Amino acid sequence: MASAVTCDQATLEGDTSQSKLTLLKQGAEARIYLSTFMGRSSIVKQRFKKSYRHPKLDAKLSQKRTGQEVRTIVKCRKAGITTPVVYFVDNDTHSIHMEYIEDSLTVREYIQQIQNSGESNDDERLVSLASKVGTTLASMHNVDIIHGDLTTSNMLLRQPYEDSRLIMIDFGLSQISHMSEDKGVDLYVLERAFLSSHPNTEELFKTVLDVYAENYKKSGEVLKKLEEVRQRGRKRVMLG
Amino acid sequence: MMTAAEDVSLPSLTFQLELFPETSGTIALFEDVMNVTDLKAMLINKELDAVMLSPKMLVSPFQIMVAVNKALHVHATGHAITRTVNSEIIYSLSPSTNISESFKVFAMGSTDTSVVVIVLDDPDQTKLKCIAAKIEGVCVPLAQLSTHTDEIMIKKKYSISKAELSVGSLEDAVICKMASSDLS
Repeated sequence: MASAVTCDQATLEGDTSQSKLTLLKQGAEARIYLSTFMGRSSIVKQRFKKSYRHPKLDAKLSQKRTGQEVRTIVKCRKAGITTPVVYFVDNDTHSIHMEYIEDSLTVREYIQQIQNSGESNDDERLVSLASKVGTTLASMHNVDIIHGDLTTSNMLLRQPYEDSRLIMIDFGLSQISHMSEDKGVDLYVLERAFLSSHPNTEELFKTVLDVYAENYKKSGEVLKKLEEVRQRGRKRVMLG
Repeated sequence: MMTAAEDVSLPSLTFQLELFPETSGTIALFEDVMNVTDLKAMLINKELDAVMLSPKMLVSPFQIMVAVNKALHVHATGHAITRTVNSEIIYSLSPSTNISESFKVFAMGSTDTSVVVIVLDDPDQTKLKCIAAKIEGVCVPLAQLSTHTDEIMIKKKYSISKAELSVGSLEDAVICKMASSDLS
């Protein structure tokens, strides 16, 4: 039995040859690798060390954020929102091993494909997509999940795209909050990302908000907050 | 040199772990087991180096592999909750942090007539054959596992909602609960 527990865990942090990690993306907080887990294709999201932070604080922050991210993913699935399956959480290297979504496209790429093919912005596929985004956001906010980084790159569609559910990814900045303020900011972040990534989609985004309003009973308050946030920006004015 | 007797291998599944390349796990399913109580006593007396599970709470071999991976991980990093890797495998299947409850639910029970056996580092079935000799039952292909699965019980013990099953399989839901059991 002893032999089973002696092998080292350095494979993730340093030597990448053993566990066959391929770097896919690098963000400000974590690296995303493509790998396999028990024979299935997987994604490894590893929060790396920040040398400017005190090591103890660094470990604590990374652990907290990794835990929060997994907790939100599990909560999402419980509420019927599609996310990757979490296979394994490694609290030592602050890594999340999760399902790799095969044959997928980001919503960003999907919209661009349709726009590039010369279709108008009231194309049936786009309207149906907007309504999917609206309902998904409504069910997320209904259980007080704030995604924190809503963009069209953090939403995936699986082939065949037209019939796919919306798959939400990257809950690294997520939190649980019942405040309309936080939900308003969540929508505002998406609005900014949506309109800046996709030209002439004001009408389409309006559909997102309309469907959101229809499916979430506290949407009135949130949309009022969204209006406020639009006036002042994402950060709250904290004077006096 | 292989003799004729050694050549007869039992139906089983041996798997590798990417994060523990030096370790392998072997899973076998036994049906019509008559001596569960004796086997339990042998496990307690450490006469058997194996994990014995009730197949009722298992949806697939993948679920077992995930548990083995987690158990090896916590043992290697010093975060183990139980004393041995074998007991940690049982604990890793649990959606909660209640140790005695996880043994009650997942370990082989006195009323079971089928048993899932897990042994580590046994690619040539030396250990498995030794254990099989002590089991009064039939070793059957692991594909039979799903016929023993008690889905209602699994949904209850893992508290899996209807909405959760709309986004993925029962296996997906179970794996997520196992991965997040020690977070809160």
